[in-house]
Amino acid sequence: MKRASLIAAVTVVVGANIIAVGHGLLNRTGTPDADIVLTQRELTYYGASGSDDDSGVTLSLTWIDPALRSWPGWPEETDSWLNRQMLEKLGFNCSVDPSSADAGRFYERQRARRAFVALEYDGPAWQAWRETYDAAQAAQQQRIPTNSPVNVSSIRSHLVAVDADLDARQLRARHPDRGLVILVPAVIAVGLEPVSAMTIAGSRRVMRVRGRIQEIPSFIHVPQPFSEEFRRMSQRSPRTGARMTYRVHLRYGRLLEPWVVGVEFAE
Amino acid sequence: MLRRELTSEELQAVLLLTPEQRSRFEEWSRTRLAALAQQFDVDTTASRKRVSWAMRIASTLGALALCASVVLLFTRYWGYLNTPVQLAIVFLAPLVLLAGAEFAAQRETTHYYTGLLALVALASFILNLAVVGGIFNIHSTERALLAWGLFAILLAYRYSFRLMLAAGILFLMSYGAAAFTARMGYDWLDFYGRPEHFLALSLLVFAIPLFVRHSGHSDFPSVYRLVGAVIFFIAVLSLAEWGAPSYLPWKTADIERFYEAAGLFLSAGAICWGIVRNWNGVVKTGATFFVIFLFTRLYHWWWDWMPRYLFFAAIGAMGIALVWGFKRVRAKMSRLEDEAAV
Repeated sequence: MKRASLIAAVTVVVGANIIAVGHGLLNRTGTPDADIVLTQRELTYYGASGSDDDSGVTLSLTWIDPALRSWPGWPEETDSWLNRQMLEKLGFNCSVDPSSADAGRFYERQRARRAFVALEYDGPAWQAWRETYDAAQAAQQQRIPTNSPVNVSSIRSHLVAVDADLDARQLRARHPDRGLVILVPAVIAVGLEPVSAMTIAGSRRVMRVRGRIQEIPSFIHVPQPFSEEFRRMSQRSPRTGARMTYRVHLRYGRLLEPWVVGVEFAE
Repeated sequence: MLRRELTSEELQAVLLLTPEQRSRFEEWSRTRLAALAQQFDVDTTASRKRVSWAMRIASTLGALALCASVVLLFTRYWGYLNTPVQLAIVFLAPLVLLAGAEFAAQRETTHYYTGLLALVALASFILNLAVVGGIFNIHSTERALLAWGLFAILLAYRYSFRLMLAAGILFLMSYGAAAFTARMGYDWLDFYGRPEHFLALSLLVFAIPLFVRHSGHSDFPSVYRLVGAVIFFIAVLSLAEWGAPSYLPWKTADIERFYEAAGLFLSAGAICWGIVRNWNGVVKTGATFFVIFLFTRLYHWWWDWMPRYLFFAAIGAMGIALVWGFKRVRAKMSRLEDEAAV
């Protein structure tokens, strides 16, 4: 009895570790939810820090949210997949007319909600986004000519958010290609935006409800032996980690948590 | 203290001891103090008490520095280790440090080294779960707060460590708010975004000593009350002044006025209740927040239209009035204590 609190403290440490490691191993058993190969565009390595205080290697998942306008010249009439109907499905209350006087406060008070998001790799959504981007860039070139238009395909992530649901299984059923679409937990926020900068109804702007992905777990730990090569290349050319060319074989387990199963570097 | 009082002229005029009685008292007090110092390492003089405070501060600062050192040492080298070794190190670190704290507790009466090792054990456990989560890319969850809170509370009760108890209470309060936020379908990291969760939780923490007896840890109820009162008033202040969102279905301005008035009345109530129950921490917390609520209200009323010199003069006058008020409160407290003694 005298040692009960000590035994309880040890039990908390051991129990928490069993649960955490068991969770990690459970995720990696059975058929993976997704098995995909991504490149340095989608998994960015920022290189070793200047202070060298952290020897771990972490990749950062980057994606495109087509709901966001990339710059002011972006086509305004583009309809977002994260529209009013989708937001209502995700649990947001969209009952107030977005153009009404109270709408700003009503939608501002709604907190971001959790959901699962489907990210499609190098598929039709990426092609559509790229075409929109190219058209917008051409229009921009006509207005303000610049010397070298950016080759967006080589630098931007080809992972594009295409769908969301509160149930990951239903989302997977709608996107069955496990080599093309990954499912990730996300935090989604709701807001208002003008339908068009030029659309005025009376003295008030016409608004619409639009969601945005506030957060997706982005950091992916790279274990040994794969981390060695990242560290070696980073030390060879410090601060240029983002320019390294590599392909990462990634698996997402039954709990939708990823792990690295292979890395190929290109010279 | 009694020995010092006996030498005062005033007491000698009332209580005159014969030389024999005096020497017997001196002998008894010396033996008793020596026994207490031997058994519990208690401070038998004012200067020893001051040194003890310095030791407490030094051990706490040392523990915090060691916590930072452990975390930085691990992150500096963990990338060179393979996964099983990483897992083994972070799993064993809190257990080894806990064993060290237990070893120290059995050898010292005033738990300076024990407290230091216990605090580093807690930091290692926090690092432990964070690293396991990172290795397996586990989606962040509020459940780690529960494990850290339980561990801190258990160590606090085992080694009578108040700082650890406060840390454990804060972890468990955060877990409660985060778990509720997650169950509602929101991001758990947004748990601090609704201070009303903390209003309910802090009242619960404040009430714990009313229902749970702490015969073995007589200094713990004041920690529960202090943490509960401080978190409660910070939550009210954030709703009244910092524009934090509320569950109340009113206009923002009305919600802010409501919580501002509630903050004033409840902080004044805390002072009164603290006086009646002789809870010093509650009286001080209530007085601090009463002054903050009062001055922020005056700021809203006067800052825009009053000349600055007049505003600060009014605040100064208010401060003098508050000192006068608190002096009266103190006099009343002394009177009540005297009556209770009679």
